[in-house]
Amino acid sequence: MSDNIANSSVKEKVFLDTAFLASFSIDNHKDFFKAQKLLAELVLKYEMHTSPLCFYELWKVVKKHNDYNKGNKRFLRKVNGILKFVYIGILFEEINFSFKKVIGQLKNASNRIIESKFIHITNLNGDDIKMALYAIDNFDQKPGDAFHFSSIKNLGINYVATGNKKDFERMGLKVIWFR
Amino acid sequence: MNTIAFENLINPIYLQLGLNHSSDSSVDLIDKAEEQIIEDKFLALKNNIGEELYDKLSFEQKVFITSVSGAINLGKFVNIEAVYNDIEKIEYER
Repeated sequence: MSDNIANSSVKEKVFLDTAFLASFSIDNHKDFFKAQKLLAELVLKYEMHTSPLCFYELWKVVKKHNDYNKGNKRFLRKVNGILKFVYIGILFEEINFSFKKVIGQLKNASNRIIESKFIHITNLNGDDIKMALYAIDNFDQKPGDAFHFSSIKNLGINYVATGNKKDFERMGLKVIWFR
Repeated sequence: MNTIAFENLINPIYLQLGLNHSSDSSVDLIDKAEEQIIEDKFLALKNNIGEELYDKLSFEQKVFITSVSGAINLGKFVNIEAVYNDIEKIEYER
Protein backbone atom coordinates (compact mmCIF):
# COMPACT_ATOMS: atom_id res chain seq x y z
CA MET A 1 0.00 0.00 0.00
CA SER A 2 1.25 3.45 -0.82
CA ASP A 3 2.91 5.32 2.02
CA ASN A 4 1.11 8.49 1.14
CA ILE A 5 -2.36 7.11 1.82
CA ALA A 6 -4.04 8.90 4.68
CA ASN A 7 -4.75 7.09 7.94
CA SER A 8 -7.40 9.42 9.23
CA SER A 9 -10.76 8.01 10.35
CA VAL A 10 -12.46 10.80 8.39
CA LYS A 11 -12.35 9.85 4.77
CA GLU A 12 -10.18 12.08 2.61
CA LYS A 13 -11.33 12.73 -0.94
CA VAL A 14 -9.40 11.38 -3.90
CA PHE A 15 -9.82 12.18 -7.58
CA LEU A 16 -9.51 9.28 -10.04
CA ASP A 17 -7.98 10.38 -13.32
CA THR A 18 -8.42 8.80 -16.75
CA ALA A 19 -5.29 6.64 -16.69
CA PHE A 20 -6.40 5.05 -13.43
CA LEU A 21 -9.97 4.50 -14.64
CA ALA A 22 -8.61 2.92 -17.83
CA SER A 23 -6.22 0.67 -15.94
CA PHE A 24 -8.86 -1.08 -13.86
CA SER A 25 -11.70 -0.83 -16.39
CA ILE A 26 -9.87 -2.36 -19.35
CA ASP A 27 -9.37 -6.09 -19.17
CA ASN A 28 -5.83 -7.25 -19.98
CA HIS A 29 -4.46 -3.81 -19.24
CA LYS A 30 -0.79 -3.92 -18.36
CA ASP A 31 -1.45 -2.24 -15.00
CA PHE A 32 -4.79 -3.90 -14.34
CA PHE A 33 -3.69 -5.80 -11.22
CA LYS A 34 -1.93 -2.84 -9.63
CA ALA A 35 -4.91 -0.61 -10.37
CA GLN A 36 -7.39 -3.11 -8.97
CA LYS A 37 -5.39 -3.41 -5.76
CA LEU A 38 -5.22 0.34 -5.38
CA LEU A 39 -8.97 0.55 -6.01
CA ALA A 40 -9.49 -1.86 -3.10
CA GLU A 41 -7.32 0.32 -0.88
CA LEU A 42 -9.07 3.50 -1.97
CA VAL A 43 -12.57 2.14 -1.47
CA LEU A 44 -11.71 1.43 2.16
CA LYS A 45 -10.06 4.71 3.03
CA TYR A 46 -11.16 7.38 0.58
CA GLU A 47 -14.22 9.07 -0.79
CA MET A 48 -13.64 8.69 -4.52
CA HIS A 49 -14.52 11.27 -7.17
CA THR A 50 -14.12 11.53 -10.91
CA SER A 51 -15.52 13.79 -13.62
CA PRO A 52 -17.48 13.44 -16.87
CA LEU A 53 -14.34 14.56 -18.68
CA CYS A 54 -12.54 11.41 -17.47
CA PHE A 55 -15.26 9.29 -19.08
CA TYR A 56 -14.84 11.21 -22.32
CA GLU A 57 -11.11 10.51 -22.24
CA LEU A 58 -11.65 6.85 -21.30
CA TRP A 59 -13.94 6.35 -24.29
CA LYS A 60 -11.37 8.00 -26.56
CA VAL A 61 -8.71 5.64 -25.21
CA VAL A 62 -10.96 2.68 -26.06
CA LYS A 63 -11.23 3.92 -29.64
CA LYS A 64 -7.48 4.39 -29.93
CA HIS A 65 -6.82 0.90 -28.67
CA ASN A 66 -9.32 -0.63 -31.03
CA ASP A 67 -7.45 1.12 -33.80
CA TYR A 68 -4.13 -0.27 -32.55
CA ASN A 69 -5.58 -3.75 -32.23
CA LYS A 70 -6.63 -3.62 -35.86
CA GLY A 71 -3.19 -2.56 -36.98
CA ASN A 72 -3.84 1.15 -36.94
CA LYS A 73 -4.68 1.14 -40.65
CA ARG A 74 -5.18 4.85 -40.80
CA PHE A 75 -5.01 5.10 -44.58
CA LEU A 76 -7.55 2.33 -45.10
CA ARG A 77 -9.86 3.89 -42.58
CA LYS A 78 -9.62 7.21 -44.40
CA VAL A 79 -10.44 5.51 -47.72
CA ASN A 80 -13.19 3.57 -46.07
CA GLY A 81 -14.60 6.78 -44.62
CA ILE A 82 -14.87 8.19 -48.13
CA LEU A 83 -16.35 4.96 -49.49
CA LYS A 84 -18.82 4.86 -46.66
CA PHE A 85 -20.02 8.19 -47.84
CA VAL A 86 -21.03 6.54 -51.10
CA TYR A 87 -22.43 3.42 -49.40
CA ILE A 88 -19.61 1.02 -50.33
CA GLY A 89 -18.05 1.12 -46.90
CA ILE A 90 -19.60 -2.18 -45.89
CA LEU A 91 -16.76 -3.89 -47.78
CA PHE A 92 -14.36 -2.65 -45.15
CA GLU A 93 -16.68 -2.70 -42.21
CA GLU A 94 -14.24 -4.62 -40.02
CA ILE A 95 -11.56 -1.95 -40.34
CA ASN A 96 -13.62 1.01 -39.32
CA PHE A 97 -14.27 1.81 -35.70
CA SER A 98 -17.48 3.22 -34.43
CA PHE A 99 -18.39 3.88 -30.83
CA LYS A 100 -21.67 2.13 -31.52
CA LYS A 101 -19.79 -1.14 -31.95
CA VAL A 102 -18.44 -0.96 -28.42
CA ILE A 103 -21.36 0.85 -26.85
CA GLY A 104 -22.30 -2.20 -24.79
CA GLN A 105 -18.90 -2.25 -23.14
CA LEU A 106 -18.84 1.50 -22.67
CA LYS A 107 -22.27 1.37 -21.05
CA ASN A 108 -21.27 -1.48 -18.77
CA ALA A 109 -18.03 0.12 -17.65
CA SER A 110 -19.49 3.59 -17.25
CA ASN A 111 -22.84 2.68 -15.68
CA ARG A 112 -21.27 0.43 -13.08
CA ILE A 113 -19.13 3.35 -11.94
CA ILE A 114 -21.90 5.94 -12.17
CA GLU A 115 -24.44 3.81 -10.36
CA SER A 116 -22.12 2.73 -7.58
CA LYS A 117 -22.16 4.59 -4.31
CA PHE A 118 -18.40 4.41 -4.04
CA ILE A 119 -17.42 6.80 -6.83
CA HIS A 120 -19.00 10.25 -7.09
CA ILE A 121 -19.24 12.07 -10.41
CA THR A 122 -18.52 15.78 -10.24
CA ASN A 123 -20.62 18.42 -11.94
CA LEU A 124 -18.92 20.98 -14.13
CA ASN A 125 -20.10 24.57 -13.96
CA GLY A 126 -18.99 28.12 -14.65
CA ASP A 127 -16.59 28.15 -11.72
CA ASP A 128 -14.81 25.14 -13.21
CA ILE A 129 -14.25 27.04 -16.42
CA LYS A 130 -12.68 29.93 -14.53
CA MET A 131 -10.53 27.56 -12.48
CA ALA A 132 -9.43 25.74 -15.63
CA LEU A 133 -8.34 29.03 -17.13
CA TYR A 134 -6.45 29.74 -13.90
CA ALA A 135 -4.65 26.38 -14.18
CA ILE A 136 -3.63 27.10 -17.77
CA ASP A 137 -2.44 30.55 -16.81
CA ASN A 138 -0.55 29.57 -13.65
CA PHE A 139 0.61 26.00 -14.31
CA ASP A 140 0.82 25.98 -18.10
CA GLN A 141 -1.62 23.07 -18.23
CA LYS A 142 -3.39 21.69 -21.25
CA PRO A 143 -7.19 22.10 -21.27
CA GLY A 144 -7.98 18.55 -20.12
CA ASP A 145 -5.72 18.62 -17.08
CA ALA A 146 -6.83 22.17 -16.37
CA PHE A 147 -10.45 20.98 -16.09
CA HIS A 148 -9.35 18.07 -13.88
CA PHE A 149 -7.58 20.60 -11.69
CA SER A 150 -10.71 22.75 -11.47
CA SER A 151 -12.87 19.77 -10.46
CA ILE A 152 -10.32 18.77 -7.85
CA LYS A 153 -9.95 22.24 -6.36
CA ASN A 154 -13.65 23.10 -6.35
CA LEU A 155 -14.38 19.90 -4.40
CA GLY A 156 -11.56 20.51 -1.94
CA ILE A 157 -9.75 17.32 -2.98
CA ASN A 158 -6.10 16.90 -2.04
CA TYR A 159 -5.28 13.49 -3.54
CA VAL A 160 -5.18 12.23 -7.11
CA ALA A 161 -4.91 8.58 -8.19
CA THR A 162 -3.10 8.91 -11.48
CA GLY A 163 -0.42 7.73 -13.83
CA ASN A 164 0.38 11.32 -14.68
CA LYS A 165 2.55 12.16 -11.70
CA LYS A 166 4.46 15.26 -12.77
CA ASP A 167 1.58 17.40 -13.98
CA PHE A 168 -0.52 16.94 -10.86
CA GLU A 169 2.42 17.44 -8.50
CA ARG A 170 3.23 20.62 -10.37
CA MET A 171 -0.28 21.81 -9.48
CA GLY A 172 0.41 21.20 -5.77
CA LEU A 173 -1.67 18.01 -5.43
CA LYS A 174 -0.70 14.82 -3.58
CA VAL A 175 -0.33 11.98 -6.04
CA ILE A 176 -1.24 8.36 -5.32
CA TRP A 177 0.84 6.47 -7.82
CA PHE A 178 -0.35 3.08 -9.01
CA ARG A 179 2.18 1.95 -11.60
CA MET B 1 -38.73 -14.86 2.47
CA ASN B 2 -41.07 -14.39 -0.46
CA THR B 3 -39.82 -14.36 -4.06
CA ILE B 4 -40.25 -10.66 -4.70
CA ALA B 5 -38.35 -9.66 -1.60
CA PHE B 6 -35.57 -12.07 -2.46
CA GLU B 7 -35.25 -10.67 -5.98
CA ASN B 8 -35.21 -7.13 -4.72
CA LEU B 9 -32.31 -8.13 -2.56
CA ILE B 10 -30.29 -10.12 -5.07
CA ASN B 11 -30.96 -8.38 -8.40
CA PRO B 12 -28.90 -5.24 -7.77
CA ILE B 13 -25.93 -7.46 -6.95
CA TYR B 14 -26.37 -9.50 -10.10
CA LEU B 15 -26.87 -6.36 -12.18
CA GLN B 16 -23.67 -4.84 -10.83
CA LEU B 17 -21.84 -7.99 -11.80
CA GLY B 18 -23.29 -7.81 -15.30
CA LEU B 19 -25.38 -10.92 -14.82
CA ASN B 20 -29.06 -11.41 -15.46
CA HIS B 21 -30.85 -13.07 -12.61
CA SER B 22 -33.79 -15.21 -13.62
CA SER B 23 -36.93 -15.23 -11.55
CA ASP B 24 -37.63 -18.84 -12.58
CA SER B 25 -36.66 -21.04 -9.68
CA SER B 26 -36.47 -24.05 -12.00
CA VAL B 27 -33.24 -22.80 -13.53
CA ASP B 28 -31.04 -23.94 -10.71
CA LEU B 29 -28.25 -24.75 -13.06
CA ILE B 30 -28.08 -21.19 -14.28
CA ASP B 31 -28.16 -19.92 -10.73
CA LYS B 32 -25.30 -22.21 -9.81
CA ALA B 33 -23.32 -21.05 -12.82
CA GLU B 34 -23.89 -17.45 -11.80
CA GLU B 35 -22.83 -18.20 -8.26
CA GLN B 36 -19.72 -19.84 -9.64
CA ILE B 37 -18.91 -16.75 -11.70
CA ILE B 38 -19.25 -14.57 -8.60
CA GLU B 39 -17.08 -16.96 -6.62
CA ASP B 40 -14.47 -16.97 -9.39
CA LYS B 41 -14.44 -13.19 -9.53
CA PHE B 42 -14.08 -12.93 -5.77
CA LEU B 43 -11.31 -15.53 -5.78
CA ALA B 44 -9.43 -13.68 -8.51
CA LEU B 45 -9.77 -10.48 -6.50
CA LYS B 46 -8.50 -12.20 -3.37
CA ASN B 47 -5.52 -13.65 -5.22
CA ASN B 48 -4.63 -10.25 -6.61
CA ILE B 49 -5.02 -7.99 -3.60
CA GLY B 50 -4.07 -10.47 -0.89
CA GLU B 51 -6.08 -12.04 1.91
CA GLU B 52 -5.50 -9.29 4.45
CA LEU B 53 -6.86 -6.51 2.27
CA TYR B 54 -9.59 -8.77 0.87
CA ASP B 55 -10.91 -9.54 4.36
CA LYS B 56 -11.24 -5.85 5.16
CA LEU B 57 -13.67 -5.33 2.27
CA SER B 58 -17.40 -5.64 2.80
CA PHE B 59 -19.42 -7.85 0.46
CA GLU B 60 -20.79 -4.73 -1.23
CA GLN B 61 -17.30 -3.35 -1.78
CA LYS B 62 -16.18 -6.66 -3.29
CA VAL B 63 -19.17 -6.64 -5.63
CA PHE B 64 -18.36 -3.09 -6.66
CA ILE B 65 -14.68 -3.79 -7.35
CA THR B 66 -15.31 -6.99 -9.30
CA SER B 67 -18.09 -5.36 -11.31
CA VAL B 68 -16.02 -2.41 -12.53
CA SER B 69 -12.78 -4.37 -13.01
CA GLY B 70 -12.16 -5.37 -16.60
CA ALA B 71 -15.58 -4.21 -17.75
CA ILE B 72 -14.07 -3.23 -21.10
CA ASN B 73 -12.59 -6.19 -22.95
CA LEU B 74 -10.44 -5.15 -25.89
CA GLY B 75 -9.29 -8.69 -26.43
CA LYS B 76 -5.61 -7.88 -26.50
CA PHE B 77 -2.88 -6.88 -24.12
CA VAL B 78 -2.95 -3.15 -23.52
CA ASN B 79 0.26 -1.18 -23.57
CA ILE B 80 0.17 1.46 -20.87
CA GLU B 81 2.54 3.74 -22.77
CA ALA B 82 0.09 3.78 -25.65
CA VAL B 83 -2.66 4.74 -23.20
CA TYR B 84 -0.69 7.71 -21.99
CA ASN B 85 0.22 8.68 -25.54
CA ASP B 86 -3.43 8.47 -26.46
CA ILE B 87 -4.38 10.72 -23.60
CA GLU B 88 -1.69 13.16 -24.68
CA LYS B 89 -3.07 13.11 -28.23
CA ILE B 90 -6.58 13.67 -26.93
CA GLU B 91 -5.29 16.61 -24.92
CA TYR B 92 -3.58 17.95 -27.99
CA GLU B 93 -6.58 17.49 -30.26
CA ARG B 94 -9.04 18.94 -27.78
